Amino acid sequence: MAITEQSLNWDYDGPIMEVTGLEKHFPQSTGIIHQLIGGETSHVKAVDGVDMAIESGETMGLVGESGCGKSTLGEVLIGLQEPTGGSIKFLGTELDSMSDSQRKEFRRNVQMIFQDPYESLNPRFSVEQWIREPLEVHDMDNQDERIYEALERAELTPPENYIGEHPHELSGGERQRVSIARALVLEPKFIVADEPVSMLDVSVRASILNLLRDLVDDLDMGALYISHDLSLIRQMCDRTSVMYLGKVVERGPTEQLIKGPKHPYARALLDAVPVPNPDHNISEPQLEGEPPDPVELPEGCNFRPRCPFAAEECFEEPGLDAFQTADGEHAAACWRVETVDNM
Amino acid sequence: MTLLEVNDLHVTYAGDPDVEAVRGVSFTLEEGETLGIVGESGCGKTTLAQAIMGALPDNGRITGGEIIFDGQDITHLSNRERREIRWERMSMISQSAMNSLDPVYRVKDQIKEAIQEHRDVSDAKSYERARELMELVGLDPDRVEDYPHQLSGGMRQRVIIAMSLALDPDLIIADEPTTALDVIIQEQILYRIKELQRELGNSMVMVTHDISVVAETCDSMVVMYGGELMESGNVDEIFNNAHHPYTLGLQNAFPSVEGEKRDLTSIPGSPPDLSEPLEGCPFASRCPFAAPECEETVPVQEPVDGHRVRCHEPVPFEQIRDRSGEDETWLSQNKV
Repeated sequence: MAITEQSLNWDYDGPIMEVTGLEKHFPQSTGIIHQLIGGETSHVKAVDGVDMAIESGETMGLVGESGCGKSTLGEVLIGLQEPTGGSIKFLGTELDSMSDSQRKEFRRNVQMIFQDPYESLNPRFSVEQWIREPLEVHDMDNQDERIYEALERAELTPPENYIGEHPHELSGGERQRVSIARALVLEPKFIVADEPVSMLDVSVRASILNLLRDLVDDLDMGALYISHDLSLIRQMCDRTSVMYLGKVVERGPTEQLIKGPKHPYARALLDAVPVPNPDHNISEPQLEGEPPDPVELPEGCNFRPRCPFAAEECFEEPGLDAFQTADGEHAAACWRVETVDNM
Repeated sequence: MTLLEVNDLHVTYAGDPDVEAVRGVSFTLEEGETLGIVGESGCGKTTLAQAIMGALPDNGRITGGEIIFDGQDITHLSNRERREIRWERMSMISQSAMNSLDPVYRVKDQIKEAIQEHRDVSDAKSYERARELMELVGLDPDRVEDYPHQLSGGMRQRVIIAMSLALDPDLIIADEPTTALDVIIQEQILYRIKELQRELGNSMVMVTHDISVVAETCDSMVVMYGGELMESGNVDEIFNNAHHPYTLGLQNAFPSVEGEKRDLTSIPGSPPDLSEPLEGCPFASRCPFAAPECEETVPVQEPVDGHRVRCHEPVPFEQIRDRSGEDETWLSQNKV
């Protein structure tokens, strides 16, 4: 039996993770009366047509404010949520068309590192139990050896000092390292890290960021790094996508995007990051208010109602090809990039 | 005019064992000034803020030193006397306050209560004031009719700010006012707080772990570690001319979107156990420059007027400054 089953294509040399037109729409709960009289169900469009390709050894940054859909996108990529439209390809194989055994392989190879090391660890489990659990779920061999190796990779050395500890005996940095060890123990090829350092003290953040960056390099993984803070994204990511109301509105090499953002939303997001420089006093925010309800999206460009540069043409929806650099690496879904650049 | 003076303040939490969370902190705050208190979790910054506000948890006691507010010693006031000052003359915006609005009362009733608790004002007048305050913090006045759950996190935090301003206090203590919010909302709220301060002329203490927030919003700052003050002075001086290895460590650990990208350093090790008495500098065990004398005493140095550094200077400060930017310097210490 096992022989006839097709395993995933490990020789595939395209992007490790590729999504096209990805959608995740949540039905709004409406009252029973509303449903009885045949009212239409409205949808929250958390992810609304995202194209993204992440290569092995690459960390893609995903930035946007709360509620922009970035965490939902991360959850859909690793199969924690079912998409409602579009396609996800892992190693070139469509998720929908995977056999049961390929699905299992997929699940073992995509992992998540969560934001809060205080809540994501089970307080009753020892470090060993916590890291062993995924190995049990996937029925892996050589478990002890794998646990030791994962702890070493997460720089919890020597492993025997940590293996019997419980979460309350560990510092915040150590807990996040345990979460990382748990995510790594299955030797995944793709990880999603959702604000992995925002709950940690400043003095340990850099060590966790450096660790993640080295792991992506050494293990040749693909990674999606989710944050609302471009200063953290800058430390971690080769390329960055900016998300607003379920759509990617700008994408480019991270340094290029930070030095010269093109979409007005990316400009505002960058401007809002406080800078550790006293000559830089807090300036008037470029954006007022909060994103509109993703149920009733505005006509044309989603950002139009909040955009200080909106014009007549913005009633037509721009795609990511509305602005592109010559090499095509840096793109923004905005009609007015050149006008705004010249202002 | 000095509005607030904290002298050699000690705060202890009773327990088994007792924890001395603040260990001899001194600073002054001038009228109209904003002072930042920065440090990492467990450094005592929130305890310090609560002690000034007279809002320590039940097992917390001021065990030494004094707090002088507007010329009056308020260190040991009774609860009733404190209540008169609280909200009237000093108020607090805290990180958790956003979730402390009562879910069953409309916003207007909660603001009205804050006013009428202290002042004999009619319902109609306080309702009017509630609407005015909403406008002041950039919210639609009609939203006073809302219940807290109808507001977003950022809006709830604005309501808290509105309440803290209700009685026009001289001092506002903001404890991580924007920590749970994303950068866009954070910028809106910090900008609004600063605008209001300019208009109303009150003083402020900003407690935060985020040195970039201090850089953008404060005039002076205090860096705390292990319950003690490590370095203090005006913000320009501390950012451009920091002397203390811990301050430099924090600055080098902090990412920025400005300038050229650089590698960040981290500070291995963990903060001291505050249930134990401590000789010498609390940072010594994590400090790559520590010398034997650091385990015994902590001298105060004053490189320029108003800039205080509690450090032995085991190697010259210029060297500390250069070497603290390199990760190897810190990694020569034990790992986290």
